[in-house]
Amino acid sequence: MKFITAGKLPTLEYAAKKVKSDKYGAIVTFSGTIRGTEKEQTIESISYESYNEMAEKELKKIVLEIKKTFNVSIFLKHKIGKIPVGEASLIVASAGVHRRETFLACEKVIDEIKAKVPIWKVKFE
Amino acid sequence: MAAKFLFFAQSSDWMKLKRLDIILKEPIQLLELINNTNELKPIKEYINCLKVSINHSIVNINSTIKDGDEVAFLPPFSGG
Repeated sequence: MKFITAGKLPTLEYAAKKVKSDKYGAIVTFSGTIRGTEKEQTIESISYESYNEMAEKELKKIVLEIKKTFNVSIFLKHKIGKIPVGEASLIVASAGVHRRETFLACEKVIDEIKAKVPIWKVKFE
Repeated sequence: MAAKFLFFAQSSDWMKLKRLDIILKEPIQLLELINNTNELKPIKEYINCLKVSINHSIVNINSTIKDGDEVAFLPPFSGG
């Protein structure tokens, strides 16, 4: 499965369905959306660029590590290209037995993406 | 075959290009190549702000590169 898309992101409902299972009692979904200001300036969009091959590899590593560490299921998609204010750049869904590890896993995924994945905001318009 | 050098985000702004191919007669330390290659001069002053990868793995700037390698200059990530 590719984690990066230049096309439309799936819905959070779709993401939740991808991780749902009878063995889990908690599903957490996250949508990172474009804010209307950047460094106190009003913007209408942000453009993202990625080093695709390396980003896909890093995202795969992150998902495998977090699944193992927290015993959860993870779905994520990151959009690249021009994204208008109000739309999502990233969606994450995690599912686990209990809410504690499910919330922690979702947050950890986002932290790891920000730290380790070669994706950049390159243009603010 | 040549070594492929890729520039992303700000690093492509500084270099004014996204890709540069350089034929390496023999393996060389990346920092030595940067210091002694005119085409890589624009990136030199920013090297402390960047991570570098060779074949999709983050490496030290003193790592050795050879023909066929893919080297990328990576500014601080801002995904998510």
